[in-house]
Amino acid sequence: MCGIIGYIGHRPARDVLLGGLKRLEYRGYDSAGVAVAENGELVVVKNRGTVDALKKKMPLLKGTLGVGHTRWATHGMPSESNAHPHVDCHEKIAVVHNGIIDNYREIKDSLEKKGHFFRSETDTEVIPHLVEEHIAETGGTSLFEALKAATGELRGSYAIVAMRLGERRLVGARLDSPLILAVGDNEYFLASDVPAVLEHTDRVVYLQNGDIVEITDHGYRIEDSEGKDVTDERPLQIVDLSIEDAEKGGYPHFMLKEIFEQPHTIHSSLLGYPINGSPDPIFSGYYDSIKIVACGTSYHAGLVGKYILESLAKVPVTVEMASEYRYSPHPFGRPLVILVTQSGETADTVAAAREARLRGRKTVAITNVVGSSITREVDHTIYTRAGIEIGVAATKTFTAQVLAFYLLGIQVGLNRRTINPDESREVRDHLRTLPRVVQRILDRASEIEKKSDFFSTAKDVFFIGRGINYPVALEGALKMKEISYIHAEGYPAGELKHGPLALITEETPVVALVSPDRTHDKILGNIGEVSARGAPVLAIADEDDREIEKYVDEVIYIPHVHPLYSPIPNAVVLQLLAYYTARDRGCEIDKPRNLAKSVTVE
Amino acid sequence: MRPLTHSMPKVMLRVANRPILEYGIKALAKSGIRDIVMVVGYRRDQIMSYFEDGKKWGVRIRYVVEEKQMGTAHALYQAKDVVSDEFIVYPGDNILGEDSVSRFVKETKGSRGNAVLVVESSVPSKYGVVIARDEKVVGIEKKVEPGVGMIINTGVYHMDKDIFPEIERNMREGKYAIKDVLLDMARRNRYFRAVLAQGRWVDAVYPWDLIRANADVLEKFTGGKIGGVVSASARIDGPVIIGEGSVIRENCRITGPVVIGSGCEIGPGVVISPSTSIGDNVKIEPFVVIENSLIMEDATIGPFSRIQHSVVGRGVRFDGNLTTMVGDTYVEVEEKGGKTFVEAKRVGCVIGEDTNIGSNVVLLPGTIVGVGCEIVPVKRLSGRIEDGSNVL
Repeated sequence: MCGIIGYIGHRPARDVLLGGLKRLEYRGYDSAGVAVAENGELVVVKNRGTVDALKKKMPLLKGTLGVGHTRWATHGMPSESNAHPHVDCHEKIAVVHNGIIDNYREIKDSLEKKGHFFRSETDTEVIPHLVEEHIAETGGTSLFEALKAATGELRGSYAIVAMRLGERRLVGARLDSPLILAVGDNEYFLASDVPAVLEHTDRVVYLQNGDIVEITDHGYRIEDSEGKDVTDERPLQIVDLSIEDAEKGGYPHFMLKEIFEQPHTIHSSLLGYPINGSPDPIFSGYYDSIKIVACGTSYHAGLVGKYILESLAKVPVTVEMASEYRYSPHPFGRPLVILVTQSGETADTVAAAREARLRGRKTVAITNVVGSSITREVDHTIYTRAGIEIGVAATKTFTAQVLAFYLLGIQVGLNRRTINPDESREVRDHLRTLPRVVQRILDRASEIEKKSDFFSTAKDVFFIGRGINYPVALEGALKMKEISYIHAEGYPAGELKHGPLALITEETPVVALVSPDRTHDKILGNIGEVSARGAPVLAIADEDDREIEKYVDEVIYIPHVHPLYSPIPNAVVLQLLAYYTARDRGCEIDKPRNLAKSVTVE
Repeated sequence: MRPLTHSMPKVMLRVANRPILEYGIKALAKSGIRDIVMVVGYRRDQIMSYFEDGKKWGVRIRYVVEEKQMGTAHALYQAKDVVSDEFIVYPGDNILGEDSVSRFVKETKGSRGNAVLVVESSVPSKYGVVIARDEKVVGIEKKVEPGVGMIINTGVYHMDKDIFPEIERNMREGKYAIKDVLLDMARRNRYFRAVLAQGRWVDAVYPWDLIRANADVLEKFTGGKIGGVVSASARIDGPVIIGEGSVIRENCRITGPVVIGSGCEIGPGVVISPSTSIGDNVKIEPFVVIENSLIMEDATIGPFSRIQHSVVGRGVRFDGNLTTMVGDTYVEVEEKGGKTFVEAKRVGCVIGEDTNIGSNVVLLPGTIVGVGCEIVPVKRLSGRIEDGSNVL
């Protein structure tokens, strides 16, 4: 998903463009760039990194005509040379583009034969050169006609905004990728998204597929794909959505939307290591153990990962908090180090990656953001492909990270020959059932909503689990803490009696994760311990567990899964419990107090 | 449409791997409509998370919630403060009819008064058969059996804001359907204009309508990207789409038009014949034959099964050797009045989501298995099996 923006008016384009890009930035970024017409010259500034970083790099330009672009890569490496805007041979035409040009290679070859020289590897760059070629061939036609001709040769999807020195106008074209036109007071905007312009105007024209639009200081003109003037047929609409409503798609909070996206993100994550692919060579070679390094929710995913890797791949695993990793008094052995960070920018984890490299370790990152800082510090990256997560409390990225560990378990196991291809297919078949399992839990969200009354007056909540569900209990407590501000702690169920039991009273609800495996009877015992002290107990249990309701006050059932795969459905229940509890308390949810989405300080 | 609508609004049922409603949104966008207000209720999160703000289709979508489904006029009434002076009412659960919609929109644009889109069809519509005189709608009748040359009500209207006081009047008298409002106004000589459009119109009322709609959509299909990994010995003919990360193993034969989703595992030795849609994350084990069917996402079809003219719901599991028989039959459906039997020609079976069926089970034509059922091996089933049944 990229964001593009163009501006023509009476204000410095630099500020309008940077502001608009910042609005689009939350959708993700790996690079950004801006081009402004300044004193007869085209000034292009590009940067790999955030819009703020670009802003620092940009001189204080006064030009009032320009285009900008922010990139969230889904394929391929981000770099300054590949960032937009792209220009033609003579640096007189600048273009920003969102989409994919399928036939760019043929176009590039033919233009190179005609003498054009290219600066990047992108498909976008063919566009300014095509425009340049059309202008040259026709002896100086307008930018509008030239872009129109150029788009005739393009196959693929695009939203394009182009500018040319010497012409006081911007021209845009749309096919499949979104592009809107916004009308201000003697100023006009083109953008991929309404939020980019909402702070300047609420008057918007939605362009249709095949449209070519031109904006000048005095107005705009739209032609359809057949060359007909359709300016009057594209109605000017008043947008009354606040910026955020437009993106939440009807959900009251991004976090809820992201929780409900999980069946879909699990589908995407399953494509991470294709079936039938040969074992990834990154996991061959010698390592005597695996060390997982992470912070926060990613750390909890790592703890679940430990159980998964030890079960599936039979390799010893240790898990460390990234902020502590560098203080290891005496690093030893030859571990493969796996660093987990959703944003890829978490300072502690990035520093740990550097430390691992200094120690000579082979490193792998699990992250959700293509081209993020962590990817430059490791030997290999696995992307969780969950899409952008806007809610500060991690939900879909947690389950995606856990899923990555299952897929990793198969890879490592195949490489070390601790599982055979048949067993790996069995694991896949179990994973395949997870989207439905999660969907069935989400379908009963209103039942879970009612159970959140359990916590309405609580000041302390305890989450307990055994085995693979112990880290899930930790994560449940973290979610509760983060968004409802209720103090919550997670413990291995067997640990309570070694101290924390002193805190248990009738006022402290306990959430128990009950799995139908060899931990089952033991955890019933632990539940007995706390209910004997008067604590209300809510159990999350397998739907086939007929006994559990006799021992607890409330039960939330999850569809039957093999216990090894229960962390993901259990986590979804815990996410919903935390969400509804926070909502009932009127908490901020998407932006909890004191927290930032990506912790870039150490 | 039970059991397929157990946890999904009908408009989100997939035809050729796209929700029914998406065809409607595309049709509206094609007729030039940019501003869409969706009145949603049942399972609205599924609609909202798929369509979001509509940007992907070049439209703006706003949502209005109808807490309790009381009728079409009541639903429309919820949007009272949000619509502009002139608007189109579109039911959302029909597929095709794109050209008819465009023509209707064009013809009624800017006109005063109310109009309804009618189409000639031999298949009844749940919105009734229209009786018109001089292009004015004077009556609407309910007809359940197919007949030749019927003019049916598509449920697509052109209205202006004057309709809302009329709706209020009718609701006070306990009438909540647009049809009631239309007839009430007709009795007072304020007729709706009937606009006849040519072209195909498919209303999805019963589960097997989905199979026909699927075949109709795929008829216009020209194929596309073949993602994933296809074995060298597999044969793919005709228009076929295969999604990302799917695997087609040795000796499979896929004859289009066929749509296959992403992350699927198919074969070896599987035969898929037109017009079949297979959703994401579906596993089809060796020696299965599938013809003219819809297999929804997350399903697993065990070896040696034969699926024809059938709809297999999400997450369904067949252990193996399942046979769906095809034939003409009468199927029991629930209408507003009670249960009734509807004729279904050349149909297979419908299996509700998350049902598990043991090996060697035969399903007679028209069998409808509900949601979350467990069926033990070696059984012969017919008729309707209620949700959650354990067939022993």
